[in-house]
Amino acid sequence: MKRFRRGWVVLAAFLVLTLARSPWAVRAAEVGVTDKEIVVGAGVDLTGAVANWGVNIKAGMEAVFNRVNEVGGVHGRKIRLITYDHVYQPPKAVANAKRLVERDKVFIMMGHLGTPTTKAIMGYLEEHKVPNVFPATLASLWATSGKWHVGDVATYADQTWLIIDYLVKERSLTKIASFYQDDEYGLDGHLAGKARLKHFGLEYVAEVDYKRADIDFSSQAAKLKESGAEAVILQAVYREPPRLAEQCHGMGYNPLFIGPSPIVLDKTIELGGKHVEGVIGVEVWPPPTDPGPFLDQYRADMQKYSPNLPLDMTNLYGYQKAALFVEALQRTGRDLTRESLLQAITTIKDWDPGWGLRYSYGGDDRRVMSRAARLVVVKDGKWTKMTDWMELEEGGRR
Amino acid sequence: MKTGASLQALLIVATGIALLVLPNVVDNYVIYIGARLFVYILVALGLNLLTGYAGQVSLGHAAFYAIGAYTAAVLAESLHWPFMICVLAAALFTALVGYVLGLPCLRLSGLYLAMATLGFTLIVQEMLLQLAVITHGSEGMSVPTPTILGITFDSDYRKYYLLLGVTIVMLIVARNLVRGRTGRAFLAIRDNERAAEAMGVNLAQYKTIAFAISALYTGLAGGLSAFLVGFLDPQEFGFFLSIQFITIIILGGLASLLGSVLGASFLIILPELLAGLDVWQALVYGVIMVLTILFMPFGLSGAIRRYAYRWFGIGVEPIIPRRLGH
Amino acid sequence: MDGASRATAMWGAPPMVEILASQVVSGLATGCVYALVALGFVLIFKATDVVNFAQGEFVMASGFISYTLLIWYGLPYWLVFFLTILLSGVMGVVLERVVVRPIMSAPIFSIVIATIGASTVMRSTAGIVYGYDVLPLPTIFSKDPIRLGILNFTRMDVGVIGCSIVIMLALYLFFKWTKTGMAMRATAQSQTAAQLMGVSVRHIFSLTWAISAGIGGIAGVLIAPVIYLDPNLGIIGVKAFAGAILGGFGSIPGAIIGGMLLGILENLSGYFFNAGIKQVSTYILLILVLIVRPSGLFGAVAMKRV
Repeated sequence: MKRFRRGWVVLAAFLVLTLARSPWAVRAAEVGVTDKEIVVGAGVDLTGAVANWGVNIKAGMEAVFNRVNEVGGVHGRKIRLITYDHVYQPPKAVANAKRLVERDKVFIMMGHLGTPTTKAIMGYLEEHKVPNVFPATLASLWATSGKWHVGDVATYADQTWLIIDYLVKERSLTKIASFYQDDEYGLDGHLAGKARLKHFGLEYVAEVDYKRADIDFSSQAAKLKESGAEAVILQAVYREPPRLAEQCHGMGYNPLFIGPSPIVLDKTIELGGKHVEGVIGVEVWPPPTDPGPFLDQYRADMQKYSPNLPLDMTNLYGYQKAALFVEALQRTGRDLTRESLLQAITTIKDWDPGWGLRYSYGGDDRRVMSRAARLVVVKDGKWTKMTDWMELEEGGRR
Repeated sequence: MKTGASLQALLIVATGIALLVLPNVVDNYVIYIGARLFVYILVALGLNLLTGYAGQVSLGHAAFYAIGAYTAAVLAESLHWPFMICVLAAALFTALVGYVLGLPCLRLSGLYLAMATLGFTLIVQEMLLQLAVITHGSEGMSVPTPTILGITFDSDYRKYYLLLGVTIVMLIVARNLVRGRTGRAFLAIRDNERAAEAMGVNLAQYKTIAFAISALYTGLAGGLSAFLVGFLDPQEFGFFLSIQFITIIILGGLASLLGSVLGASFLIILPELLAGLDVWQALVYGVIMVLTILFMPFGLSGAIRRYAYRWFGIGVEPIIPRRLGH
Repeated sequence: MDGASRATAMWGAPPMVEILASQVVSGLATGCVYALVALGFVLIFKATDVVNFAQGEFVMASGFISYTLLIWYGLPYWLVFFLTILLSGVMGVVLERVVVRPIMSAPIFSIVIATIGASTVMRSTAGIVYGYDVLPLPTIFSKDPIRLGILNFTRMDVGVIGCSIVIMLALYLFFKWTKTGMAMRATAQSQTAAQLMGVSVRHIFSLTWAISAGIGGIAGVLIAPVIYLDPNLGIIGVKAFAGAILGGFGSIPGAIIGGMLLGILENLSGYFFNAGIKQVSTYILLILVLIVRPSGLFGAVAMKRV
């Protein structure tokens, strides 16, 4: 009996200790901000469906923060990043958000990854007045969701509009088809394209979808060939275009392949070889191999803090988010609150961190930091610039 | 013997008190996790009734969970019914679906049943995407805030108590079910269908009832979960979720109510304890899972029963469940 | 005019037939890989009654092993091929000893959970070591298209189908004519009888797992160049499992035919429907088959032990 009672006491103590509020919570003027530190939260996918993005975005952000911390932080405060893995599942994302906001008491949520996962915590963040800064999703939603959300770069919807304008106006093509991932990732661009085509009085000649883990696209290729499409817009990532192109060419079908930013990776060329020659893509930020002081800094930081990760658009994506955030922090000065940070973000105009792309806050009805994009094409096995940076028009799905 | 019974009662009361008091001493994050735990306990109870007691392997419970969740959400969104009505309607509808699914599954057993139910899960998941007009498809669906009789259940605090109440009620229902004639019929079917039939157990009736009740529990859990999380995405309700559910009842202990509770706790609480490990979390979790089953092949409840007997003389030597399926 | 058009002109075959024919061929190639993985499932199941949920992960792991040997160590392709199969076999034995043997007498479900846990461990280890990015794996079979009459396929397809058939034949001969093969068949039928005949059942179990994992290894080497490597590759196990069920889990030829059928079916339904329906149609068909024949197409009606 005695042994038993002791066990119960130990168990209870264990539970209380692990679950109860931490007695060492530091009192601060603003949540997540102390004299010496700013705590930033990020819910990302580290082991699930889009783990590659999560791991790299986290590394990119950490690289910036580590470098900044080494020189004493921003206005005397070091930045601490806390990330939790939500495995691309909304219930877990909600749990992690609560942990970050209520237990870890983060200042802001930054670079939250995934559209469904971020949507799931939107209301919660607003309720607790936690800024959702530069979420890592290229959905168009954040631009128009109110003061607590700010997006960063051009969305898939914006990019698809650009693509369609290019195809119709520059190339005079009318038979355009869409190859898209049948989830939120691909639908955003696909539907935006549909709307833009209507503007020109056109329609997709074929709408062919695929599931994320699909490995064979011979049936899609057959359908595209049958439709006689001159151009195929790829709402996909780097995995699918090589295979699709291969299978289309195998059937003697050679359309123009063109797609938004996720396909613009060296990986695409590596996987696709000669089949992806001539594929056109959209860049919304410069590639990691471009010259310039900002990218030199990026390459140095990644080499120093994450030497095992290859230089890649995914970690550069995270890196530029963190750089933007640091710039905003600089502008707020020492008096740092959530409101003052959001205010500082709106003051950013024509700011070029050193790579040719300029950030400008788009306005209250368009809360993104950049609407620029440019076209690139695969020439001789390398992504080559086709146009200069262009400002995109209003994007949108309907 | 008396010591055993009173010890068990003491434990239950103590746990009950701890659970009642908990939300007042911890933060919202823990309360939310607690609420999620209750949801999963409901699922585990349902699945255990079908697979653990009645011996019908099911990989289809992610589908029941999804049907419960989406039905409740859609009813709330389009018909604006009060929250509890939505959830109850969803649970009943899911039970009906379960019953209907049970019919063709009467002839199947073991692996084939597992595969058919898995197929059901994947078909339902795809239907959620195809019927985007009502389910919002891959965009995901927001669920309105629940209210009962004018009291808004918008805080995790309130949701926790609601779920605690529901779980306790359903636990008692399950307990009575298991100890009654239905429970005995289930066990008879699990152990030896032919013999059960010979003893007068109507296989078709009890198997479909098992499916229906199991689906009811899971649909109820799904409906409640929809309001708890507040957002639904068809992605979640797939193969992996079904596997998670099966893992819960096996790790916890088949044909055991305690096992359902323990298994759900393992699945919900352990990842949170490991959350700080980032990329290593999944690996450590997998290792712990393997070690747990290696050392406790009859599940957590099996181990507890064994040690309760060996060390304290409580209860009886646990009956070793026979192989299921074929 | 190219071959296909000539064929069309000569025999009046409509273009639809050409498309369908090529769908069937590439479906057959995928189906062969499903069949190999399904074979692995069935072998272990017949011998030990265990469903090895880590079978898909064997495929994934072997893909990564061959990647490591080929790219990090720069070994020649043929050496990598054989080493990968060998190492996969070792992996199978290790898994059996560590995860399955200790609880061999426990309920089947527990062993299944152990394999699920093992698959999680394998997947996350691959993720930690290689990252979650997709890796291309080179292959000796070129992916250039070949036209043969109305058929449209690649050398890769031929290679995959060819290798698979060779493996299956080799296994058939192994089981039929070698002593060890016969011992395995005996154990599958009745462990007690086999033991009485002097067969070391424990060795047979280890061997079964080694062969299964080895087959998974071959499947991995064959399919990885086509669908690219990543830690979540193991999901192919679910499809293979479905194929094995379709054909009848208790029989080896059933599993093979089921796997191939599944591959072809997927491609054909992919042509007629959109991506979502494609996936679902195969499972609907599976359920329909099971309703009519509860033990799969070729499975023997299960004798219920009273």
